[in-house]
Amino acid sequence: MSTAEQEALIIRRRSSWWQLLLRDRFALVAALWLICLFACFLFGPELFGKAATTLNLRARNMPPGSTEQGWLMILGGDALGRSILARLIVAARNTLAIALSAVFLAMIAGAVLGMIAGYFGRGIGHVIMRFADILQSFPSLLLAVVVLYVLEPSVPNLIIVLAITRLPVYLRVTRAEVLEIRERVFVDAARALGSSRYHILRRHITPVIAPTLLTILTVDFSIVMLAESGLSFLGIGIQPPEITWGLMVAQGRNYLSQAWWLAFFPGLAIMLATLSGNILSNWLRIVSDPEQRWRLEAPGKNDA
Amino acid sequence: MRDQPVLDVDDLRVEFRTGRETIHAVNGVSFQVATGETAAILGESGSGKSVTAAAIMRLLQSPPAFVTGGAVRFKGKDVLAMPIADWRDSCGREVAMVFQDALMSLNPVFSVGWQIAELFRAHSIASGRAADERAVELLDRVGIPDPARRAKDYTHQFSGGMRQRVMIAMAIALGPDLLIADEPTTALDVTVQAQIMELLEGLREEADMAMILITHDLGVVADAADNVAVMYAGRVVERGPVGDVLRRPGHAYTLALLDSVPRVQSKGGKLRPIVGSPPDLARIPTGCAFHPRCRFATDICRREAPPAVAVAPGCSAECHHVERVFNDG
Repeated sequence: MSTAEQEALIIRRRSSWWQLLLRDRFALVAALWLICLFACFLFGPELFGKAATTLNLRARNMPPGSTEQGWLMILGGDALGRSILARLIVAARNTLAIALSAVFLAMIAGAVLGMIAGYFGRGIGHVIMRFADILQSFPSLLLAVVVLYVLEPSVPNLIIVLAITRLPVYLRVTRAEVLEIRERVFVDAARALGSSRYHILRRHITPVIAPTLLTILTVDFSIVMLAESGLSFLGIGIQPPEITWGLMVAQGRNYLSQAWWLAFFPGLAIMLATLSGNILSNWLRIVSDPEQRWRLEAPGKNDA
Repeated sequence: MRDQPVLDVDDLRVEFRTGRETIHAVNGVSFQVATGETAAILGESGSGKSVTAAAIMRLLQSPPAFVTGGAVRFKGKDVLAMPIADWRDSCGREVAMVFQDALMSLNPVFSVGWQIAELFRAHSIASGRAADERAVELLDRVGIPDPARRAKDYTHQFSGGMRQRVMIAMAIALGPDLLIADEPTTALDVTVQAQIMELLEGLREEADMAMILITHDLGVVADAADNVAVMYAGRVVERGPVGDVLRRPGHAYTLALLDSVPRVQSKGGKLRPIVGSPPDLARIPTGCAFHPRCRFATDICRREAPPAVAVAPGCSAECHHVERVFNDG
């Protein structure tokens, strides 16, 4: 049978994820950078906590590129003469913790509500969608300001507010995908072979929409970091002496004309973290999709 | 036929209500299937045969679909009245279904072995390694070469025939008593069609299952089925043992179907296509639904719905002109 022969031609050898990662240079660099950030997240405040708060008036707004005041000043000093590098490393924990918690919270809550809206009855779906409409039509910054003004501006409250403002995106995307996927024949087939509704959602629908949600999540990651910096700038987000990259950008803004590096390096950190997340999630999406995976396995794919 | 039927469909009616009109997809379909029997439902596109199957399996989305009448009894239990969770529990275990397009009916993001094993896990019959092993056994049973390795492959890595074998493996996994095959060979080429039908027949005999074979292919019906129900515009217009019905039909529609199929023996003979197109199910013609396309039609066909008339022992047809048709064919 000719079809069987053709099938035999399909590359069968499945490389491990490690091998695939080593072959994709961009994804590898992105992964290394994220591992580096994760190390900062775990150990940063313990190792550099002191350096990040030590004032050194001789290094006030010191430009980057010189190690006169020690190698920690390689990225320059801030308005109070604190090491920007040390502060970046220390801020990684707060920044990543807030942004990641917020986006994951938004994704999980949005996905669950979206699945309910898309899969179970119209009535409950309408209620959920109108709820999403209200959230979206209310200016998110205003909502955050009101909530954080009434409640304490603490880290958990900040995370919840950020998550709520991002929730409608996940909700809508999930609902739209569920509405499409539930009509696919394989869902009917699963029902005909005795799968319960819960089982279908968990085993047949979730795996299909997960890559889409993860892609949105990496984009949202940067949006949330910037939103957090905005709130911190208004004084209702993270309170000094706690720091985040967003707060560093906000504080550096005052000195933009004299000392651009104050805002530039934390901004760069946000951008690189987001970019790495994007590249890696894109790579993950392809690797985890059985129909796309060969693109990474095929030799010489860098020419494509 | 033997003792009590496995499945008894009695006067089943299904409507689709859209905003503007009501589509009468199934209008009083009755048939029985006994253990070890293959019953074919034959009809052209839009005759309501797939909707009938979906209604039996309770796969129809409501709205727009509504079952407005009739009953489906599976082993004596009323399927349409029982809680959906109970019926889903029977699905797979006692009744299973094979769909037309196996590429669409299998989940693209899981390996086929995982999907079959998942069936055992979902019904809590086997778990972990044991489920995986049973999946490989099943793939072997439906004739997939090198099953242990192919179990790790994904749907898109299989050819059409192999995919349908995987789908069949899933359907028979839990040893159902009734298998509904909705156009199982339509998407396949002829040689593969024969292999799949042979496989289905073999499995049916082995397990003494009942099978409902939904198809528009007269050849498949003639080869595989014991009894046939011919559907037109949502009604069974003729029924009986396959040999009798296909040799000497009593309904003008069945005869027209037979005349429109090319035959190797009568090369050079003229094909007689059925003129016109199937009726709009929102506006089914009065009287006999087939009359606008029927060469036997007379006044009475336009006015009155024909009663079921016995044609031969075990055969009946809903036609006003059974005798003329019978003698013509």
